[in-house]
Amino acid sequence: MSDSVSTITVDLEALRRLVALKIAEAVALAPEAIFPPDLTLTGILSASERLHNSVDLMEALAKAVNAARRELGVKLRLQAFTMDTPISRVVESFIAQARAAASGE
Amino acid sequence: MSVINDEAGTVDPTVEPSRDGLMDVIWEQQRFHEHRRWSAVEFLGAVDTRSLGENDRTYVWNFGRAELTTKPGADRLARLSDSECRKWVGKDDVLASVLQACGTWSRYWNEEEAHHESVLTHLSRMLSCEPIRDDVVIRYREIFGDDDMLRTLFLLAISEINATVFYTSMASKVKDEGLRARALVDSGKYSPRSVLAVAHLFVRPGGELYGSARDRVEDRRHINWWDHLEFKGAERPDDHDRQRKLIFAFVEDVTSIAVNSAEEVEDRWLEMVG
Repeated sequence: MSDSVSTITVDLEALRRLVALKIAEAVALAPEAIFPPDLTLTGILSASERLHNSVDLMEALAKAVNAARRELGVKLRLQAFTMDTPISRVVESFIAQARAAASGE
Repeated sequence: MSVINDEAGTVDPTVEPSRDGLMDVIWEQQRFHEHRRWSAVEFLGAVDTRSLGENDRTYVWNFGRAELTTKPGADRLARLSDSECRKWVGKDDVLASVLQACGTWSRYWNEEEAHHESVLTHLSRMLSCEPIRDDVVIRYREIFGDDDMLRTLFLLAISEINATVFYTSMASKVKDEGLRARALVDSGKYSPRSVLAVAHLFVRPGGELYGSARDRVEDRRHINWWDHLEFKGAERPDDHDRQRKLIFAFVEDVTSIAVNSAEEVEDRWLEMVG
């Protein structure tokens, strides 16, 4: 039991790192410019020169979802978020989905 | 072949003009537009306002206000079509012509929508509903920011689908834009991914389809009419199943990609995002 919990924990941390990296790549910003200040989605849209609107941002998040499936075998759904949502909540929604899937919910 | 009789300088009705090029498409647009012409003044003259109940008043007021946003939609389409057209001149002249036809269509669309807006807003006044103030009109007229052409077309088309489901008596509106969206995908220059992205934006859980019924509505600069419907005591005339089915059918019309659920829309879109 404890082994399986620790395996999931490692996976979740790997997922967290991967998702953060892929989001940063997709919006063409350094991870440090996004995650420590915990930018909102509007904040990311304003800071990124690559993105023009919320559909572009949705596609950037989709790249992270795809990377999770491709590299870690974790299937995530991209939920609807309002633009004042901090990026940490988006990442946490991915982690929560992965945790729920791992525990068979 | 000329339709002008050189000697007399008059039109010979037996001679058919050639059927190619933009002028032919524009003539067909004109014919279609004239064929569906109707009078807002006559329509309102035939309405018996005494037969309308409180719910009807709420619907009329809401959708009159919502129709105010179709003018900025058509204006945006006119501007974007022309700038996209110029992008393709000399590189893909057929596509440039399709885009110019699309921009030309905006004038007929604008006029048809003027009829819808006028009927509903004037009826709302006849029924002594809450007045739509000038500052509201000005806010609702704000033109959206520019986006990818195919995304724009598909979003406008879904907006029409939603409106049509809300008031099926105006059901003829739906087909207008889809034909042109298909031409953009067929050109190979616009990715069907844009269609799937916008469809996902609407049908995902908590998506645009659910409009003002959502817990949280996005605070935007421009107005998406579906976010601002206020039904108060009246029953919401939503039919999400029907709206979803129409959107799925429309995705297939434009992209030839069959989808039957919100999850399938998301999956096909994610595959294209890569």
